[in-house]
Amino acid sequence: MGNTRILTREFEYVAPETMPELLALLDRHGPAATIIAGGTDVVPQLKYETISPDYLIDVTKIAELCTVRRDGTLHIGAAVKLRDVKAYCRDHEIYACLDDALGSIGQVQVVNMGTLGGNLCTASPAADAALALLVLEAQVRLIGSSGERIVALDAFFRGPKLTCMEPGEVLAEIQVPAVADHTGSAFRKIGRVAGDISKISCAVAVQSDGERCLSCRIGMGAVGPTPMRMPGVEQLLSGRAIDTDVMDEAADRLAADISPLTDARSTEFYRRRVSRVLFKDTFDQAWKRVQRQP
Amino acid sequence: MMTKRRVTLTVNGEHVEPLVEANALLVNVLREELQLTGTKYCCGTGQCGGCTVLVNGEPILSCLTLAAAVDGADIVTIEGVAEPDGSLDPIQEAFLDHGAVQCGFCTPGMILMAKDLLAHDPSPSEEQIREHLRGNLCRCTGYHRIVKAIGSCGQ
Amino acid sequence: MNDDRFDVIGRVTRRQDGHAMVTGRQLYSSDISLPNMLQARVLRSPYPHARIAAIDTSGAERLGAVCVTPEDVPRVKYNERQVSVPAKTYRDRTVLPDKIRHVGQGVVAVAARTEALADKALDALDVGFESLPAVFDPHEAMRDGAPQLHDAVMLGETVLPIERNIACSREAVEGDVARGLEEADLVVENEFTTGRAYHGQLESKAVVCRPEADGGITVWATTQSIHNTRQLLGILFDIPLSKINVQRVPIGGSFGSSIQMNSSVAICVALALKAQKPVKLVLTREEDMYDHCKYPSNIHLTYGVKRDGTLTAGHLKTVVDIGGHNIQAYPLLGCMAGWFVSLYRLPHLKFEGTAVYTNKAPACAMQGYGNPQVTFAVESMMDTIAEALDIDPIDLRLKNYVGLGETFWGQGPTVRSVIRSCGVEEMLLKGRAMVGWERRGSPARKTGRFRRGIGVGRGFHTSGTGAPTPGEVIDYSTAMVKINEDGSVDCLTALMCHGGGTLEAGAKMVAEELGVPLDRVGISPSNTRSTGYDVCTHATRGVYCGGASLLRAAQDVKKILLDFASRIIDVNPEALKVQPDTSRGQGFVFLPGAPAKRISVAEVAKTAQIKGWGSIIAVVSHRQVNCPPCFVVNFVEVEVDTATGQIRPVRAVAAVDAGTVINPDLAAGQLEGGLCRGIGLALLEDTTYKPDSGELTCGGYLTDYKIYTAQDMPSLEDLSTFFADTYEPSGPFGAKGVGEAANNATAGAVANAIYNAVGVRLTEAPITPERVLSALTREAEQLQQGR
Ligand SMILES: Cc1cc2nc3c(=O)[nH]c(=O)nc-3n(C[C@H](O)[C@H](O)[C@H](O)COP(=O)(O)OP(=O)(O)OC[C@H]3O[C@@H](n4cnc5c(N)ncnc54)[C@H](O)[C@@H]3O)c2cc1C
Ligand code: FES
Ligand code: FES
Repeated sequence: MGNTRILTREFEYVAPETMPELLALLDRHGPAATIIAGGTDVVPQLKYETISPDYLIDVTKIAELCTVRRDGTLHIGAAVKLRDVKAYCRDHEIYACLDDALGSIGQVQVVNMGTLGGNLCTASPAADAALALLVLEAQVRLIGSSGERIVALDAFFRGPKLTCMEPGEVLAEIQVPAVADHTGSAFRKIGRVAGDISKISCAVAVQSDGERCLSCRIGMGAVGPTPMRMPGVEQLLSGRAIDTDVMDEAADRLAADISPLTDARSTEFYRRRVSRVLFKDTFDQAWKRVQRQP
Repeated sequence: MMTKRRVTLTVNGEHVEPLVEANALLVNVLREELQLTGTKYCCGTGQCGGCTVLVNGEPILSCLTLAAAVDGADIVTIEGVAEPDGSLDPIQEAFLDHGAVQCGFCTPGMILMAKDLLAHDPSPSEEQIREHLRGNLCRCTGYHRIVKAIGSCGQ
Repeated sequence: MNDDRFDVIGRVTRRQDGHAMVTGRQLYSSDISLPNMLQARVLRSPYPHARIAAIDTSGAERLGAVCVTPEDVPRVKYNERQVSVPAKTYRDRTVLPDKIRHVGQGVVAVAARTEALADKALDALDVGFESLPAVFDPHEAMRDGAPQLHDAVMLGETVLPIERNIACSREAVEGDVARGLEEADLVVENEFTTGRAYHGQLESKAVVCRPEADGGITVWATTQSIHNTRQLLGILFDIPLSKINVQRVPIGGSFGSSIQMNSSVAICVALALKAQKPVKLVLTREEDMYDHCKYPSNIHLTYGVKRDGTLTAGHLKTVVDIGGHNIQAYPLLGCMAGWFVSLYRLPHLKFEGTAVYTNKAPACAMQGYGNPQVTFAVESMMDTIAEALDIDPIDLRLKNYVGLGETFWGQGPTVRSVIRSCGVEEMLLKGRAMVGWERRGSPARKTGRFRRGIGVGRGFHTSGTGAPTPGEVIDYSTAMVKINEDGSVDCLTALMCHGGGTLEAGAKMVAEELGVPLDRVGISPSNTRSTGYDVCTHATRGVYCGGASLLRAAQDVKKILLDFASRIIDVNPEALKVQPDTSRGQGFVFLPGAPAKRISVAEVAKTAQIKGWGSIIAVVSHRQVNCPPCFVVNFVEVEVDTATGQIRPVRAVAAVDAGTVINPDLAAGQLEGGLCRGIGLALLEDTTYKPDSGELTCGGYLTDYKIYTAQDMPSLEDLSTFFADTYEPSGPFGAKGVGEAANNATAGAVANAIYNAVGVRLTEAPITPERVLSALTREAEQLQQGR
């Protein structure tokens, strides 16, 4: 049993103010270092004794990780608070599913503390913002002392709590490409109580001409090892006129493509059954949002 | 042995410089070093909101916050909500008038969340109030009177 | 609601302790800090069932920690709950255990200057366990050859061998059930379960113990009974009670979890005595969740009923999984029998209850003490019967409920009394109108994905455990009231407030009786030295029993007051009255109709002091000889999403018959809170265990033990409460209790609402979306096969 009142793990806390300092620290301490941003995942992990760092390196004091800028593509610094991302999305309806996802996150306090980078780097299959970003086809910019690279979010997640980041690398920014015209998006989740972590979650972005689905991106959360895109379903729907039969067909495909488990939050049976429903509901909402567009 | 560091905080308007270890959590620094026991530990994992304090005006969970990470911050705890002369904030008055307090253990967190909400929106709807409080558990009241009390403060 | 008969009773007033709570100044046990105090931590077993092979504390001691092991503590077997008479108290534990019986059980305790150091000391302990096979299911535990948790326990002073892990069992029979079932036109039968919910009081249990120079101790603890805590510590540590002082400290919620002296109290005392320094032990949330939970239930229920709806017989069989220790299973079974037989009239009845040990956290009372569990089953069955006979569920209840003038044995077979106040009919009829019962409709006609249903649940709780004859349970309270020399009043009692306003109610009664303004009546801080015995603030007895003792003391004080006043103003005491004058902050003694014959309470008290007549003070020990039922009615409307199985409570009406309501807003608050926890029991809450390790599935963290939030509850407009208009002749100012009653009927009402929505009877609480969806799927498949 851990101790949820105090941190029993002893570590050094360092808060670099520049990227070079950060990268040097990561290189110096290697696996003994853990990055902390908002800490809403790192601190519970310390309490559960599932991580045991000797150094905690705070990335939130680095100015360039804390900015949001848009040049067609939206660039969100990894250490930008979920609260600030949410405020931004609220003003830009094209990111509706991200707004939905952030709005669904547990507590106001967690939204104030947590960062977008943290939400991705926890690599939780149930991470809400991650799922929304997945269907917005976001990319992440990773920086290490030996250079930087850009990775599609799809390829970023490797498994529960596992990403493609190499030791010494840090997530610097999340890039959300411009959203095509006539695209609507939505995110929905099912929890045990309000603001709970997802039992199942779904994000949809769909481009439509009013009748047919021109293209779509569909993501499902908490039904596999990572937040997952559903390419089979996406293909099935692309170019099709949307009616209940098509949606049933898509839902069948979706239920076959996911790999849910039974855990403390729900059962495999439930997740498979209700994924169909949640997908249809989410798709429907995204669809309605396109229709509302001028 | 971890090295201790001095952090500079303004807590309820007062300048303090507690000496803290790198792994010290804000909740424990407030409760033990500064003896502000109005901030509560209840779950320690971010689920209950009992440890809520305002950091630079925003509510956060002090059970998940390293004291070292808020160096330089302005912090308001429940002890800082009433006026310095002891007169109560309208939210505190409303909690008393509406019977929103039972055992009182969730009350500090609830009042700070209400302060935050009303600071951003002086007349929140009931729905907004409930949404804003969703991270603060109360085992006694069923929330009814808490929501009512906060609603009564709206203009 | 303002009651013209009274000055302050029934009026909404601000609670005295509220100011401290809204400003963060209320000090709970976990906030107590003393000079030189050490912090304690406890090493807990990772095994559900194990022998302790070897303990080496040298590593911890090298770090400067004080350690206590099972070797260091008194070997006295005890039961942490001291409410039953000794002969009916099952004792099966020691301060630290001889053997591990559940994951999370404390083995060795350490104290050090800081919690961090104490935690390091825990890591430095070397404890060897020999793991034993464990059993988690009560039915398996009763099989031959199942792992045996206890070989023998103490019952009173006799050694009681334990066989097949059966901790105790109880039976109650009246008439002949077989005959009753034969006489019935319809026999219905079903099986119900409720979960092992966790109390989830927001303050985890805490204790501080300071050893005193005279060899005694002072204790600040999370407890509902300071006196029982003191007595038990006296027995365990062989210290005279005169040297043990247990302070009354506000509790951050309890819901029954601290009726008993918590296991950590004795551990903390052992540490403090060894360290000879103050020691503080506050459980972490996860330790707290491994420390206790609600009694789960598994109930097999059979009713016989005539075509006209008259019940002919009832038979309830229950197996209760009590976990690793027996805290109060014997009285629990008695009460479960009592709840069962006192809900509806049964000419022939039988109750069979068995309590079984398993390797899980020990179960104890949690709001309702078996009552929500029994009422869930019974109220579900009432709707089943009503549907089968095509009778309105409310009419069926009105026909059979145990009410005015009838014998009632809510607290079990040995505690019988006659009901003298009853608002059942009033509440059912008024609630029916308020909720819009006529909108209910039949499930067969409901279509679409989202379906709404309305359900009713009815129940009661006893106000305390008082009885005309002394029984198995101790029940009395002691109070002292004194009028100070400025006319203000001090009340001293060992009664606790769990948040519901018990002490506030006491102050109101004293103010009312003495005719002194409420803000001049103070509830003094108290401890076991300054107060007489009070059994425990449990069993919904605070107002009815505890309040009655304060009222009795106030009545005695009033006699003295009037006697002294009569000497001063020369009027017969019998002719005098007292009334508050709030503008002057005083009570006045006066002769009605004679303006000159008037004197303030302050002047009387001051004169008495100056003239040496003495203090105006009285101490009373009072036992109520009844435990009248406080009836409750819940109407709940739910919306079921048939596609996801999610259930949303959208509307509710909750009513209680509490007799005279002393604090209307606080009493309504009890109803609202009880409803919320009741819905949690119905739909959400359970602690489950991993079958391989015996660990809690949620690990003890609130992360995966969910409690409803403000967003999950019905809106302000959709939740109403009201009180029946009754007066309990045996209660102080006509009052009964509210407390536990508030959640007893809720789970049944919710289950009935779900049935009304979707036409499927769910009998397994919590009725999670997973269970709903499985049941709906099964139902659909059966329908298809039927076709
Ligand atoms: C009460 C509660 C409720 C929650 N509810 C939700 C919910 O509803 N939905 C949801 O999705 N999540 C939820 N979370 C999970 C989590 O808090 C969020 O996902 C949050 O966004 C994490 O961000 P953070 O900045 O706090 O991460 P941190 O805890 O600081 O870090 C998380 C992980 O990311 C790594 N990391 C952080 N930043 C970087 C970086 N720039 N480069 C490389 N690695 C980095 C850290 O090392 C760590 O492994 C909840 C958490 C809590 C405590
Ligand atoms: S104690 Fe911090 S959220 Fe519960
Ligand atoms: S008043 Fe007790 S937890 Fe809210």
